[in-house]
Amino acid sequence: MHFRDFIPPLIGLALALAGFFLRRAAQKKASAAAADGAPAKWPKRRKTLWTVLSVIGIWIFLVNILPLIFGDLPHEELTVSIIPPRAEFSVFGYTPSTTMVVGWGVMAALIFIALLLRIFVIPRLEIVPRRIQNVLEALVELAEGYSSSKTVYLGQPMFGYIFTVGAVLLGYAVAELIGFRSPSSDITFTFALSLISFVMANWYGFRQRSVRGRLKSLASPSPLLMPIRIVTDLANPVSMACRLFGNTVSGMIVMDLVYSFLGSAAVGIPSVLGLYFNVFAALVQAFIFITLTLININEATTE
Amino acid sequence: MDPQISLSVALCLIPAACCGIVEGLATGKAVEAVARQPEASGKITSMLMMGLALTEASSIYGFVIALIMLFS
Repeated sequence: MHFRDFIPPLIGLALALAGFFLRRAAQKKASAAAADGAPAKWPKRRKTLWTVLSVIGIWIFLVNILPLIFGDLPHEELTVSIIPPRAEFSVFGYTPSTTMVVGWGVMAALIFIALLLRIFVIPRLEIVPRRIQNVLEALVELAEGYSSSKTVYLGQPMFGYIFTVGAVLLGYAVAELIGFRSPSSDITFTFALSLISFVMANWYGFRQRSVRGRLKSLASPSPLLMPIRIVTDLANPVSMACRLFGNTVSGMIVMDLVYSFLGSAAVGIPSVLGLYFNVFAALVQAFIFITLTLININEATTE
Repeated sequence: MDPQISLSVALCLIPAACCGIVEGLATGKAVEAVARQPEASGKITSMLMMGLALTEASSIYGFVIALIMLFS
């Protein structure tokens, strides 16, 4: 390690310190100008300029000093597989995939949170809610209001299932942020979720009206349309599974590309991009999944 | 990779181009609606988001088929 290797981090450190001290001087000038009453546009902009300079300095410093401490990153090929890799251990002779292990982890975390709430919050419920009870009541009201607004008959029993699906999909998004491969990038997981919704919709549909009533409603505008409506009903779970799978896999591919392009310079930028591709897309798709489940149940039970 | 696979993967991704045009049109109509009545901006935004996510599903079906063709 020559002394030449230490020059870029020192440049970054110098930039960061210069930006910090100049920003403090500019802030004094800005608050003095605001106390005078003069319009404080340019002093504020100068302060922002020095802030940006110091952030860039910190970035250069970190990017150059991490390979010196930890060694260079090996340059490896970018490989993407839509079938997730298998885990190391085996359970009763069956080797689960890594997404299944992450799914179990998300399940364990959600059960743990539920146990904590049950043991500590529920025995101390009050008439006038405070703090955590406030948050819980707001969430339950949101879920119940939404499911009652979309379905005519079954708002009450359904909203437990809706809440669970929402919590599970939110857990998958958090797992993707941490670094694991999210279970919704495995088409078997998403297909299982949409099959559960499909079976629920048909079960409640056959229970609300008898089998003949439901078949009669499928033939409702004209009996010639009945095959088309049956095919549409069968295509709903497949489309829901493909939608969730495709969104998650495309987000995963884009983040893999960003990481392999930046190499060892991937310090602050992937977190900002990951916020859009991994978190926002997953949450919107979870909301769409819940809405489509409710619409299917409504269509199976009414009319 | 055969030229057949490359050509079919390219054909699978044509819906993505159409999706871009159509979602732009939908966003334009939503902006017009908000310009007419700014108080309904929240409802219009949520309806727009739901409609865009459902329309994007068509291009994602093509993307999924292209992935399956490429990797198996």
